[in-house]
Amino acid sequence: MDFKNEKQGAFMVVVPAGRMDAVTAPEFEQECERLIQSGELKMVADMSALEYISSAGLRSILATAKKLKGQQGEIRFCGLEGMVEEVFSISGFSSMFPVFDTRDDAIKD
Amino acid sequence: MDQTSTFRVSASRDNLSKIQHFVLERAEALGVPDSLRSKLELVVEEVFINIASYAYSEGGGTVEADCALDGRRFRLRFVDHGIPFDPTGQGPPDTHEDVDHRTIGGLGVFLIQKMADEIRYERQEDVNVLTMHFTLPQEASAAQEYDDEEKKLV
Repeated sequence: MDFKNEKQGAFMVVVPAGRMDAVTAPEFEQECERLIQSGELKMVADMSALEYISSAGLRSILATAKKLKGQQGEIRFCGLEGMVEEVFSISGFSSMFPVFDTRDDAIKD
Repeated sequence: MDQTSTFRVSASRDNLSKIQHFVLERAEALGVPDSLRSKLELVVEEVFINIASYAYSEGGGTVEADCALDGRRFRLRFVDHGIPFDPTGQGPPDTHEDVDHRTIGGLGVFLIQKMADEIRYERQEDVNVLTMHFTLPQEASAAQEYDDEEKKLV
């Protein structure tokens, strides 16, 4: 799994690319952990380059969100498409997290 | 014509992509449309990772997968020799809780239940048999009809 990170305003935008499965999901958690350690507490995960996500991916996202919340941080999502959007919706993640259509919408305020 | 073929791997998460590849390749060969692909991929992962994580406390067990067309449905079956585990008997996770109260876990089985159109679990002596059916979308039914028609002509 590859990452492209970009600071936009107050937010650190993380763009995971590829597959977030039981083998690769820990990489997402580690990447976010690294960013949290360096003081990035406002994050946007732009999921538009993600082809696939399983419950292991959801687990990594929830673990990251809990860490951020514990430090008064937050994580928002944008660019959900196809099966990634479907898995977010079925699992209740779409209502648990702030979800935006585009990155521009996600980084407002 | 025998449309069933079986794939056996050791129940180790390193084999995830191998078993996904097997099922997707079989599905394609059986004419299952691409629109079912990610659903199958996800279900294979959730079932396989569950077995790899919990079935064999001593390690070293195997998982068998086989696929076939069953009328207008795609049948996917997993067999393991691990401890009994019935995924059809698990309740839904707390999908309405907030980040603080949401617990980590239970989502894999929930996704299997949501993605498959039918799930059947059987414990046969010391073996877990999990059979799932996926209804083929309309496009595939049309192709199937065409095939049946062709067979009649031959």
